[in-house]
Amino acid sequence: MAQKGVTANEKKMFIVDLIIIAAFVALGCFCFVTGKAYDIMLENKNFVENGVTFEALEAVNVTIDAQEKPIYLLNGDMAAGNAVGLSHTLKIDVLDESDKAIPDKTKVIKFTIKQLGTKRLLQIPKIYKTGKI
Amino acid sequence: MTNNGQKIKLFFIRNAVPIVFLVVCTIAIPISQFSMQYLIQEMLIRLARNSFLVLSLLIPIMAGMGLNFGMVLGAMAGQIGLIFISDWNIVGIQGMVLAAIISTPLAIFFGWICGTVLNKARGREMVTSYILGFFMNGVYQLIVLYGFGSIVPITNGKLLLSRGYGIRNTLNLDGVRLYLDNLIPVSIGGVQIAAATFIVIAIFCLFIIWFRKTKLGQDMRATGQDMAVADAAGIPVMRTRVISIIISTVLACYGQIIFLQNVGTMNTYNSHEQAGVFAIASLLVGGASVTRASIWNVFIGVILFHLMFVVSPMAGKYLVGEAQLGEFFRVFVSYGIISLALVLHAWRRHADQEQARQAFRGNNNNGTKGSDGK
Repeated sequence: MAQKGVTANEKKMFIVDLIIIAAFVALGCFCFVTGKAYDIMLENKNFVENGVTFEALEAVNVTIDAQEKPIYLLNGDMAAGNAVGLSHTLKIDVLDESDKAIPDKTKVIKFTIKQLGTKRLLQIPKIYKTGKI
Repeated sequence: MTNNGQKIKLFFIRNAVPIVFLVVCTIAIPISQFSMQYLIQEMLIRLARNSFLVLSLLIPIMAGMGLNFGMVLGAMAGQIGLIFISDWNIVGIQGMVLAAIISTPLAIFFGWICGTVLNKARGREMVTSYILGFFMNGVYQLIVLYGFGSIVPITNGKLLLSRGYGIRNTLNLDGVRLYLDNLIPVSIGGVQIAAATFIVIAIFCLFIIWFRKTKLGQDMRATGQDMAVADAAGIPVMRTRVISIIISTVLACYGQIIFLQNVGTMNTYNSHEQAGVFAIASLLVGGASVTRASIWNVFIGVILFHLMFVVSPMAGKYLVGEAQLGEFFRVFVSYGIISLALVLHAWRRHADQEQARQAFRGNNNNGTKGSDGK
């Protein structure tokens, strides 16, 4: 009888250990997915797709996920940005001659890393025009 | 009066090390010409950076295993976790948590090895753990220098040596740098306080207080007081000792992750080496001994030891015109204080044994006299 009690206790302990390990693995996976940083290329050049030409913007500030420093791109520029996690927001501020954001020409677009494919290249003129990645 | 005098004498003897440090710091601070705000800021940074590592030493002391020089094994495990998250480009708090999750099983394994070896070397735990640290350092270097990039896949070429395998000497931990410290930004009078780190440290302190009251904690205290009595009372002494080392190693692993997120760079082959010595020196400076340590010893020790670290080079420069003198002084002090504590421990133990022997003789003589008198 006593032996059976010990076995039941051991089983219970084994199950508790398994749950703890599973919780740690799940937490690890969550951290991996939400904490992974991706390098994203941003391009502000004339871009042609399916015969449609998207003209490069004169000057824009691009902000990924409300990061402190926006990325400043002139016509023909290319720069690298950084995004952490799977889903993101991209804010494009079109700038005037004195490099100040024109209020009604700001666009916010949501995207996921999966949408970018392996290249992870954002064509800013196309995204600004169509509102899509 | 004599009783009071003895009490004061005992107080000074027990707290000789922190008192000496306090006196030296009091003299050195005005000479160094640092402003009070700068010193407070530095102490807060260093408290946040080092306290977790030093706290990890308390549990083995409770279990009577002395100062766990084997904590460097935990530090190594923490660094391996950080190497992986740097390779996978995991940043922020998630990066720190993932590094802790990856390194926990390693730290448990290292702690188990360390505890098992220390059980075979009962009575000589400190020197054994010290040498075990050197041995495992060799194994760590072998794995990180030859295994990583060849057997263990590393995808980020920036982490590897130019030959294609082995991790570089210095890793940039920009992805996790100061993330915990700046998680809850608090500033009082221009002094930045790493509130989130202090909350983690406070939780750890509460854990230690709670742990002492648990069955396992009581078993550890009993084991620390007298192994034979604990064994006779049915406590699984050897298992308890191994568990204490495992807990210490795992906590040292987390401590090293917190330490390195604060520093922001990792010396792959050196960072862990000094972790043990400096943490132990801090604890001893706080008034702890090989057999007795409290949470207060940790904080007092970290403040005094690091105050000396900050102040001594500048004091040396203004006093002798040579900043290097202060550097020598602090290295001399950290190793000297460990030696002093070990000598004091040996001397106290010898004195206790002598006293017990004399008491036994005295009792015997009295007993003989009593029987003669009859």
